[in-house]
Amino acid sequence: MIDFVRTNMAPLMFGGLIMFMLIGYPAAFSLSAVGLFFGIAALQFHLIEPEFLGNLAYQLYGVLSNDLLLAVPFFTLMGVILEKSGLAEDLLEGFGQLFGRVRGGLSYAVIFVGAIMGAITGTVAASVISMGLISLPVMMRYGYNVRHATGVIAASGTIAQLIPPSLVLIVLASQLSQSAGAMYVGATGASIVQVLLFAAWVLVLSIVRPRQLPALPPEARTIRGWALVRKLIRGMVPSLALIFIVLGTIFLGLVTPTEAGAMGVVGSLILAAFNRRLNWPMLWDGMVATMRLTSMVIFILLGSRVFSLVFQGVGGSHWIESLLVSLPGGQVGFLSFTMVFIFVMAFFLDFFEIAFIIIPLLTPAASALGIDMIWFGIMICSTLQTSFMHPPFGFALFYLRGITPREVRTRDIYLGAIPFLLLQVALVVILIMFPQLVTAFLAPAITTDLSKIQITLPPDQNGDLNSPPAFDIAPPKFN
Amino acid sequence: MHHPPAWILRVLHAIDEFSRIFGLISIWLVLLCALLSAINAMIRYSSGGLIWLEAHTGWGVFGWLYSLYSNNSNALGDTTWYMFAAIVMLGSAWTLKINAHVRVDLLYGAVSERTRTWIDLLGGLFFLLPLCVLLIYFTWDWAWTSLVTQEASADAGGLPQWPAKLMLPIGFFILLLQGVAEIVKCILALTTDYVREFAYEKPVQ
Repeated sequence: MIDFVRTNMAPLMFGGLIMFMLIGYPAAFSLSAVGLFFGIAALQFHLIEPEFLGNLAYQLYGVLSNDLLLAVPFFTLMGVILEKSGLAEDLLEGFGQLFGRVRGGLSYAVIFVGAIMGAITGTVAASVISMGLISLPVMMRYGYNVRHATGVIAASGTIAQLIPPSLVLIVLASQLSQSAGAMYVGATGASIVQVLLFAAWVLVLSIVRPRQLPALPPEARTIRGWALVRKLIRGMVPSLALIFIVLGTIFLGLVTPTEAGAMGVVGSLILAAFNRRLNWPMLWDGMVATMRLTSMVIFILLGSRVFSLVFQGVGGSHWIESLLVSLPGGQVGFLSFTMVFIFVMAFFLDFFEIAFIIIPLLTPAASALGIDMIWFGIMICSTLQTSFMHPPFGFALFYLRGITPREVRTRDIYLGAIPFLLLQVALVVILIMFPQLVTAFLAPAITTDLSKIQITLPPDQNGDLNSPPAFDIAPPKFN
Repeated sequence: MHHPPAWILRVLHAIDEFSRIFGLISIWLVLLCALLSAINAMIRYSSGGLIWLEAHTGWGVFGWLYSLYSNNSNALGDTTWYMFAAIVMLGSAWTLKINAHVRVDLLYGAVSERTRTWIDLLGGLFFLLPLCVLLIYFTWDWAWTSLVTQEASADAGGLPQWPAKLMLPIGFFILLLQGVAEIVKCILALTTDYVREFAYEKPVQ
């Protein structure tokens, strides 16, 4: 019995994690409790040394001193302020009027504005709520199919997860030990494909089922000519300015993603003030929500550090790695399995729980199979995006339910999300088949064959220790 | 069903209030931290301008401003993540009080309020309290050593590390206190007519 426990500590610990988590006590505390409980057990079985647990303090401190995670409160606060700043209203009204004359025009406007909002902020709530409040009533009034309307709004809101500067990408970057900048660059291709997929679906629908997404009648296109141009400028100029402040400065290498988030907070405060929407209760609510989310999220990470320290101590990562590497099908088999796994887990777990608990278990196996970590991260991100959309726990659907009128049935919201879920799955399949979509945008890794480096010394001083050091040594040659 | 004793309610109220004060500090730090980080980034990119102004005017003011910034930039950078550590550690007790720590609510969402109270009671007793005590034990000496030895920052001109390190045991201590209060609330809810204030809702993100 004791031998059994000794040799199977890692699987037992994994089983304990599932059991403790299922009970429903806050995940952060359950994680630490499993970690410490098994840590003490492992001490008794002499699987780990007492000094090993002394690393806990450094592990926890490592989370708090991680500069990248500082982006979590910044992007959250920015999203909350932006949601109330009136920016999405201007954009949606402008583009709705501009595209309104074509069939499915309002859907295109929603997708387009979702992408712009996504490129400014990193949170889903901001886009879904504003688009649901502004576009949904218009779409319903002019005869759009309710399921399609709610589906396109929820889906476009979640684009924010994949388009830089997404919070999910930052968290994944820190979990995969990659730079957030590289994750952003890698996500660019994938998010373009995603927007095109959504738009293509609207195009197909507008041809096959034209009555579900009619063009706006002329009397609904109230703004035209110069007034429309002014409206568009009013929406686009601050958007482009914010995109530059946040994304541009990161891509130019001027600021870190964290600082870009802080600049984004200032930028959205200025924008809200400019639109006369800035007031103290709004800002205070944003600060409160941000504090709660930050504390909650980072506590899960602290808990997962306690868990994974002990889990590694008892050989857990080797165990998981040996399980996953032996999957048939090599890279594609591993990726298909993990993506299906994450997709299923996303029904039960929150995004942050997946990122902090599941991802660390998968990464050693992924790197053992030689999978590019950025590519892996982008795929995880696209798969996780579905967790915002699928019934019954998808956040985007929750938000939408919270703001839609009674006559929209919950059933319609759930069913409307399904086509977009399938599109999302298609995106993941495309990404698995064409890694170039991610990697082509990245700077090629510098591969240097160490055996070919030659350092040539001037021949006359070769080995002569008495001569003064020569400083005109030729630079090393990389072949 | 009888009423809970008044003195227990007063103690609970005092603990809630204690956590709330640290929660308020944490909420304010969110805004301060964002502004400070933005200012840090902005000054860094206007430092070239300051040097240019100094070279062209020779007034000394801009040069003084520039050296003031460049001598303290690492301290400024350290301050932002110290604030982050404080937001997380000081805010967690309040987050526990308002029941905003995320759960896997597969079971929790389906059972009765009484069962939930039992889950919170046992979870508090067997998960939260031991983990707070153990983590205070693991971090206290370590943070205290950093304080008495005045351990310096990893960056030149940065701040000493103890304020950030001390956040860990302090945070776990406030959490422990609030954890005890929540356990007492569970016991009161099971034995008297006390009603727990905050129902669990999935967090927004």
